[in-house]
Amino acid sequence: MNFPVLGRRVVIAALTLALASCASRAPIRENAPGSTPVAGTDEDEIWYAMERAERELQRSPLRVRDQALNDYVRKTVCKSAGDYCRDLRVYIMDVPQFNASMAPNGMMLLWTGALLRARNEAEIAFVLSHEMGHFKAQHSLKQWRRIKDTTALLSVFQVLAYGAGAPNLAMLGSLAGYAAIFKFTRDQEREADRIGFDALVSHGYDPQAGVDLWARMKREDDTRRYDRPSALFSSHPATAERLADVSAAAAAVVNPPRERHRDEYRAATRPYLEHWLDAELARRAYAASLLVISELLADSPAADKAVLTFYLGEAHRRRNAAGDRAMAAALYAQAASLPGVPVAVWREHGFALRDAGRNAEARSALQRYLDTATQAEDRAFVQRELSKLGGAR
Amino acid sequence: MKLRIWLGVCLLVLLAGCATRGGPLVLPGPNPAGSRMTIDSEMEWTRISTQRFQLWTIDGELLNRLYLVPGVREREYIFLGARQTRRRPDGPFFQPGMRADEVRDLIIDGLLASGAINIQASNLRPVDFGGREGLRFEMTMANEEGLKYQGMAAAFEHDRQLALAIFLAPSEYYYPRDAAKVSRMLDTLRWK
Repeated sequence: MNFPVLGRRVVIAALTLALASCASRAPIRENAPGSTPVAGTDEDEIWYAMERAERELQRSPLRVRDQALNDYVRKTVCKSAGDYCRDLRVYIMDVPQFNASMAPNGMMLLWTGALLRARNEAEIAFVLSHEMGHFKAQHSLKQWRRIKDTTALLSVFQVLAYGAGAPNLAMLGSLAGYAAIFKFTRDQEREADRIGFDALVSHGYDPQAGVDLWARMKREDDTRRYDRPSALFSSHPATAERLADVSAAAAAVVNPPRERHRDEYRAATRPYLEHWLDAELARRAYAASLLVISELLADSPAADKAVLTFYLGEAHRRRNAAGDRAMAAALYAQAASLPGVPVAVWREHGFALRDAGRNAEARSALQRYLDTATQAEDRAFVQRELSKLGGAR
Repeated sequence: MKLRIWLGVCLLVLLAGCATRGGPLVLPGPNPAGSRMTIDSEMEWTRISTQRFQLWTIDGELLNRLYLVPGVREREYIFLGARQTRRRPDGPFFQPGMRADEVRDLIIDGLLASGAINIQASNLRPVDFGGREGLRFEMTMANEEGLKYQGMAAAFEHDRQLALAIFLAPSEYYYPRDAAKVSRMLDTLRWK
């Protein structure tokens, strides 16, 4: 292959740069509890950037600041983190999707969507232990170095390919390079899964909790009709694969522990249930929300049945597809008959009765809403609707 | 040469399209707010007009903005630009005949999707806009940096479309300064 003189110089310069970037690193340090990066290393730079990001995060309006919930989550993560607990700062973020993440400097994020979807402490411990696995194995640093290496090599490859008059090859090379980066992150996820699972079991949690959680996540994934991640360019392994892996790992545990701490989990999270359900519905991803809420309802204690039945009705009403209004009406009626009924049931039950032409019962339900929710922000609107039915006070 | 003339004509047509919805300065008094929607202003604003909406501001878009949409169409995203499809059935899409609280939820969920945080709506109430039944409510929220905002919204249905007005300003100084005047303005929204 013949390159023009200028092309050859560019190639040599690019290769030199790539090699220089590969050579400027320290070996991966032993990540002992309480240890920090050596000054001047690339890891030190990453920590510095993360610390700045963390200061921003601390001011975020999305941060859940309730001390009791923060204490509970921290206590849970520290059970499996052991001596690494002192290296961690846990931030609960009020975001309704299922997610958690771990920064290399010990900043752990947990989204409230994960707290809504978990059934017990063992399940959330499974998620948090996985994130701890990333921290222990220094995945962020390894990933950063892999991206740097791949980008440098890709630059060289592209210069060579373009210089050889093969731009399509350069593009294909880029795609292959990015696919390799994503594969690397998927491998890290698998490693974090293993580390997290081992920590979970060694601290007495039921390994089946991870299986239950992933099975639920897979069912939720299956409801997505669009924005499905590509298998090649996905940062995480497919949920089906993770479910299979955790199922096999759980089955292999001899005399597995059975601790799940369901009651403690409910006590810590129950005060937020309605808020998290409101946020879940505001996502307007109703196929997923209907599944999430119906499964929560199936697993819920009797005291939560009325609330979850009501929100399941709300998901149907808001989606408003064929048959949804009728389903919502039935669920409101059912919720109204249960103990611990939320006051908003009377408003929705009233409107459903009105739509069915049962005006006297509708008036009664709407009036009950107004009598009970004396500070309701939609009071004037409901009063107007009640007037139309001839029943305003 | 011919190509240059055509390009010039196209540019003029495009500029004319931008200019037909009222000048850039809004003066106190009755003002067009796009299509057949009108609103009586109590103060001067700067106006940006497009075919589908107007954006009014006094001190700059981040300090006060009045967003006016004369018609959100059936199955259209509440802040325009997308439509409900069979493949993407969910989202804050307008449907004629929605209850006032459902329209409020569309606006709130649309703002959430636009990056607003911790939105709380209050005082949902029925309002008559020149014989058309509509709604108004107030709201508080924060942006991603944590700056607190307050707002108010008005909406009413006409011709199976939704007329919409939303005012947002920071809670510090700007919202309290203009809220009473803007509130009176929103009550003057009309469809001629």
